[in-house]
Amino acid sequence: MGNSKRNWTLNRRTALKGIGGVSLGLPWMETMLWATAKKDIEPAPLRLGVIYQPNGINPYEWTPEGTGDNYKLSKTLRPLEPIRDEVLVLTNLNHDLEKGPDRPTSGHYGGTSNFLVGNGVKRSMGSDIQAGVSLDQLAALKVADQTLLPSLELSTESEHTGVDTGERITQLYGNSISWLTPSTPLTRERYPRLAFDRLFGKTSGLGDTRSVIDMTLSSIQRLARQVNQNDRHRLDEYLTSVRSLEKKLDYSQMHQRPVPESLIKDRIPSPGEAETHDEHLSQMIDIMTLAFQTDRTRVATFMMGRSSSNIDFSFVDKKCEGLHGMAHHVGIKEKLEGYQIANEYTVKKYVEFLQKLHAIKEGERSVLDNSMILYGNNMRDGNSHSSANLPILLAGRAGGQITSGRHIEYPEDTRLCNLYLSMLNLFGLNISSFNESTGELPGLS
Amino acid sequence: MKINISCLAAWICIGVVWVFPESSLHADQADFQKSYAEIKSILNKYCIDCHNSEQHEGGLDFERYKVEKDILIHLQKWFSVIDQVETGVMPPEEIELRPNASEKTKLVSWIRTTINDFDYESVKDPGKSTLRRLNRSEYNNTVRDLTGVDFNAARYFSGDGGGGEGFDNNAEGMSIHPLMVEKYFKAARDISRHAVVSYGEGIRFNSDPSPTLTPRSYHLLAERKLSDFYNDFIDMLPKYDHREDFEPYLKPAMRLALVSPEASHQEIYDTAIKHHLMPGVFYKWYTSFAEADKNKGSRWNSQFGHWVIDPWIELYGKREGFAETELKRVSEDFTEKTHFAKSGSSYRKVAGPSMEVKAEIKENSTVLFLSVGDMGDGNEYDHVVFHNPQVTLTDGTVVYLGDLELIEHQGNGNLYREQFPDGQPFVSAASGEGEIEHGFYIEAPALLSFKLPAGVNAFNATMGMEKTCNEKGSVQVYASDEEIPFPEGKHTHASFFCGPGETPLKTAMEWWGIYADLIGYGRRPGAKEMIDVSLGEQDKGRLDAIRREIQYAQREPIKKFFSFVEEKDFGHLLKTKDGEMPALSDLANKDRSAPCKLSEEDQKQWNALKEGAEEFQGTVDEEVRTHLLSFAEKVFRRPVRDEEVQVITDTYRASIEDVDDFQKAAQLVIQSLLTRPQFLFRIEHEGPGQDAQLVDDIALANRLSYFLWSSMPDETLMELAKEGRLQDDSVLESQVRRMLKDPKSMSLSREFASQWLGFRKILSEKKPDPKIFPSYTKQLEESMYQEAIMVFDDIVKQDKSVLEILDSKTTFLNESLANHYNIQGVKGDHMRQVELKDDHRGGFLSMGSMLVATSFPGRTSPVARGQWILDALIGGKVPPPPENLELDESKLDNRSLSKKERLAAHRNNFSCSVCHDRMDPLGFSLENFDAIGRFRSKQENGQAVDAIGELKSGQQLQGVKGLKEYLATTKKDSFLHQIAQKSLGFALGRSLEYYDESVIRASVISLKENEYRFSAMALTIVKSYPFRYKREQGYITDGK
Repeated sequence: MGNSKRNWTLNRRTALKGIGGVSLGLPWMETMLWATAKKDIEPAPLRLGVIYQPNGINPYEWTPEGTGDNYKLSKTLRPLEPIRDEVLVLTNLNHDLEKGPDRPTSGHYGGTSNFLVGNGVKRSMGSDIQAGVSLDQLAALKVADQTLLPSLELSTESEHTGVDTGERITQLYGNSISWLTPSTPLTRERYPRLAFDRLFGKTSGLGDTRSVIDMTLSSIQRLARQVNQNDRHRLDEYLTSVRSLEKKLDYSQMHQRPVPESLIKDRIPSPGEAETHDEHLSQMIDIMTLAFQTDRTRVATFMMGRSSSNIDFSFVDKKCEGLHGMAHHVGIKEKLEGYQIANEYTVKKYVEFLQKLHAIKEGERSVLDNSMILYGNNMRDGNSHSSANLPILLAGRAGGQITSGRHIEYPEDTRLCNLYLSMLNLFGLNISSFNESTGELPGLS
Repeated sequence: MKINISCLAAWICIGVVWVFPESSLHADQADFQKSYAEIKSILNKYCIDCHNSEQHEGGLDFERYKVEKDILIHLQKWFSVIDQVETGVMPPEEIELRPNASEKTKLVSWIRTTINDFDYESVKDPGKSTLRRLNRSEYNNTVRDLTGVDFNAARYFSGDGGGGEGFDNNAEGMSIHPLMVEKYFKAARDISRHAVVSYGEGIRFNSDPSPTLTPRSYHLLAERKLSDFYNDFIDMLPKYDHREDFEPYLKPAMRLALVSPEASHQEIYDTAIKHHLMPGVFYKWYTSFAEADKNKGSRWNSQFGHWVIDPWIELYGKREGFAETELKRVSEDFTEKTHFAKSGSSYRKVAGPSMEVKAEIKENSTVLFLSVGDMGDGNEYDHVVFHNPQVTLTDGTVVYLGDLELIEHQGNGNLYREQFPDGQPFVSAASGEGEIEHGFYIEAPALLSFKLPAGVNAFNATMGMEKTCNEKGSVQVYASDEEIPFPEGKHTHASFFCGPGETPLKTAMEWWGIYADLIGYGRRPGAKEMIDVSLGEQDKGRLDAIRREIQYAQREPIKKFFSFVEEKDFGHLLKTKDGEMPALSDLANKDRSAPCKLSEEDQKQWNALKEGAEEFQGTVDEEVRTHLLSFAEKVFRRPVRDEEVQVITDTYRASIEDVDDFQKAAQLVIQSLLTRPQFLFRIEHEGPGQDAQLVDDIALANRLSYFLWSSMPDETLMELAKEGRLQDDSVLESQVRRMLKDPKSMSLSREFASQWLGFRKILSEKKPDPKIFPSYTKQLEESMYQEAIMVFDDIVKQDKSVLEILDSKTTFLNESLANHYNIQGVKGDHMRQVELKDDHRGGFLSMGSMLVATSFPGRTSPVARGQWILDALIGGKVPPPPENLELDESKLDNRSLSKKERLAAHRNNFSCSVCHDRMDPLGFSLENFDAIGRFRSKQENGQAVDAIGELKSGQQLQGVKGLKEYLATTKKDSFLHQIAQKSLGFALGRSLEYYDESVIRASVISLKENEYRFSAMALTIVKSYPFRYKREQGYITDGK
């Protein structure tokens, strides 16, 4: 860097001007953030959210009776009652169940990574992991430039770091449902406070960070010229990630409007671990709600547990224990009961998210109306690991493009990727296929 | 029970435990082809229809294997062939043409022989090396060693990918994404805010973020550093009050003065070091003794001084052939006298009877001599009162001095035996009650002799100065049964005693003065000088740095310039919003025309002062830049290259122009260093060729430290690497041994063992059900984890046999864990090593942490435990149960059946039994331990524990003892192979390949030849080909 006084050395004064300037003058109406600022210029944006739950469900209590808008909610889905008009229950969707031994599509680890991809994952002990670009990341690509973060990835548990020597597969497949590239799974934020700060944190000292970014970028580039193809790939990942940070800073300096204090005042999570799992889930749901409401991102995925999660559910009911333990109930009555309660609880948390989004108005509609919020699990039966006919719910109307409030039963073994293809096109992508899709999923509108 | 066969075929089952002969046959290619031809005919007959190049069912194509190496490269596939054939899964049921038993045996044993007998040594390949990112622990440890502060900077990072041998340091699985990079940037920013950068001293880190300093507070801080520096040493100086602090100096200093009155500095220094004394203090003592004669008219010129020093001067005068006993006497005398004057000694109570006078009387002595000297300072007011002076007989009888016959009284003072001179009775002030005592009032000088009755063995009295004395009184008293001379002048043998009032204090002060003068006690002038003399090289460097720092902080040239500006009424230029001086560059740029308004003379001065100020600023910047570069070397873990020097320099200069503050500018540079790939990745130079190259010394230092410490190399390693000595086998070996002993090798327990053995899981996912096991507390969990860590660390640090992992006579316990284990006699919360008395515990098999990690929340799982033993300890891989499995649930759910009976449901089925026959018996032998690791004799359902595991061979394992025995004998080779394989995987941080087998085998041999010591394996790995070599960029692989 021969010319040291490059653009990054924008001095304090300029930086202050930049930050101070935007914070002035824009009046905020708390409940109608989007509508106030932009409603006359363009329609409200679409959002895509995914709530993922591991370890399957009790298959006998999931599927509702009857189809169409007059279906009868099943036991597990009963919590949907207050908001059933906003939700589609989709039956008989799943990924290709068999792609050969070297390409698992189900099971705890492979199934998790495959959930939003639908291409199977490469059976790998870690040296050559591979899945495909996931639903959320393809959507995020479309809107990446329009928000602070292209997408938000949240979770509740720390990552698996081992290998399963029996299955000859690395457990890191069990950590994320989001794949940025076919070989780059995204790590997820599990600390509510850090997720919050990332979206709404103070941006003072941006000048510093920008210069550091610049220096880092040039050192990566310099280094990339000296290493082999493989290593360059890794450095590229680093470069791309640093660029995304740069974009985030750009965006926050150029376009972003501050969030009114009153909106977030009592919603800042305390640092570190959440006190209980229930609180953890609620905090993350609230953060996603805020992120959608303030248009900090339009794509968010939340893993309520990692694959084969053994979170203790006894806080819901004393019949419950570790989730994975209950999922493998082998027909034992007490375990199955606990499992059932946990299933219902999970649906309740999904409903909690939907209701929050539903309560926020954007012009004539609600944020939920302008969203597609998927609920899903990479297994149907947690006991047998069966992955046919996955439990799938889709809430929101995609800005009026979906007619919700129905139970749709598709032919057996309908590709889940068909739903993803439709969702992506509703999101505005205009593509003809998505991984193993065979065509768009009919009947959504 | 039904099994979906196509599904079973889909997962690849590896079911052999791999045991190797120590030597391998070197079958040449022709031999191989000959035997392979026979095997091919079997494969062609039964297998090739589905497993060919066009239709490779299950990913298996038998046509692709042409030469021996092809088979080795795809080792895992061939292991699965063994398994599928042995279990009868392949060929599938529906195929009619099936191999007979002898064909099966032939095929399986041929595969085994081929794998076993392959000459692994013949393949030299260091393996694929991937650019490695620091994982979370490595990042934490590296930051700790880089800054000296344990920030736990990576605590909010996400976990790292597992791969290869199952460790989270596996490079291949560690991708990078935006969230992670945001965290790197945030961590770098946070860490850099803790940096304290100083001109003179370099870069240090505080556990708190460092405040922004104004030039003035910076200057004050620098001054404080200097006083802190001296205070640290002054605190270490001998204290006047502590005799033991100066005593050790006396005799060595005296001896050196006698032997070598004109000793060189080196000699003085060496002697001090030899006696573990501070050289500076020793130097002072030495010179004061060697020059005492010269100084007796000055420094020692007082009544007290002479009294103290004269015996020494006398000895020094006849130093030729002095006797060691003389030296001893004189040094003790010196000690005694100086000690006498120390604060807190008896002289303070001198107004009353406060000092003991004693003499031992020999059996046949007949006379007692009592001398009272006047110190040679005139005898006015000199007297002493003895209270209850008495002799004691052997039978305990007491006779008062007044009752003994006074043989002689020399001296012209008075002697009162009945009462005080004023006629009052002998009543001591101390007795208070006015009780009348026996007494003796003697005026100095006097020598009294008394006749002793037979059988006296001691004389004693308490003495004081009362009534007529004043502060000038001072006496010396001595009692003995041997004849003593009349006390004229000062006596070297007598006790010293002073009158009340200020005199004792003065005496003490006098000594204090001499003492302080001698060694520069306390903060008095001279202390610094003395400290300066005692400094070692390193401290001297520090002191120089602080002095330089102060000089820089004073900013004299800059101040001069600014005060000139002010003086010439350009003060308005100085006004910034916070009232601080602006940056030099700011001022210079702001108003270049300013000097034009000045007179020629002033303008000259302006220019001269400005130049001086700028030059000074340049020097200071240069210092900071140098510190940043040496910090960068630590960050990069290698010497900084020229172009990087340029970048860092530019960055610093640009930053300082931007932020006006060298601290902030330096912090920014530090921040930018910590986000560079050179810090976050472990980058090794890669040659352009097509071969493998020896890694350079620096890379080797890094490989070593990340293997053994999970952290950056320390200075020793880096120095050796820079000197190019690390590749030397003996240097390498001694370094490995040093590193294993270093506290940092605890990482082998925390990172390697906890993942290999899996006890890390009790901290996260493996949680016993609190409803069933209320005694399993967080504290107990932590103790269990600590036990595992400490036991493994003990094996590493004490270089014990790795077989202690299987069984050991000791473990580490605290009270709660000992209670949990039902072991008596361990009290308190701290973990300590405990000898084990029974066979239950010892080794990881029966350790609480392992037993919890291999149980279900509510009960034990013989299957999980058996699987763990197979998988982790002896390397027998177990496939997961087939999917879509339909079990006879009535049996599994029947609680009245024993666990063994329920599990028999598995084992009666052929497909299940393939694996369960191997797992279950091992697990059953641990049934005496419940799900939280307590020893028990009854199961959850109340039935007696059946801890017998029957192996397929018919061998019975009798409980944990039987299991340990079985593993340590029959399965010893498998265990050794496994630990070597896992260690190598951890050391290399990549998936292992077939050719790595040679290192594993060499490690096993080395373990066997060296009493299974951990170091033997570590050394073999460190010296191995893959650890020392690296593929070049164009490396041609052998076709995988």
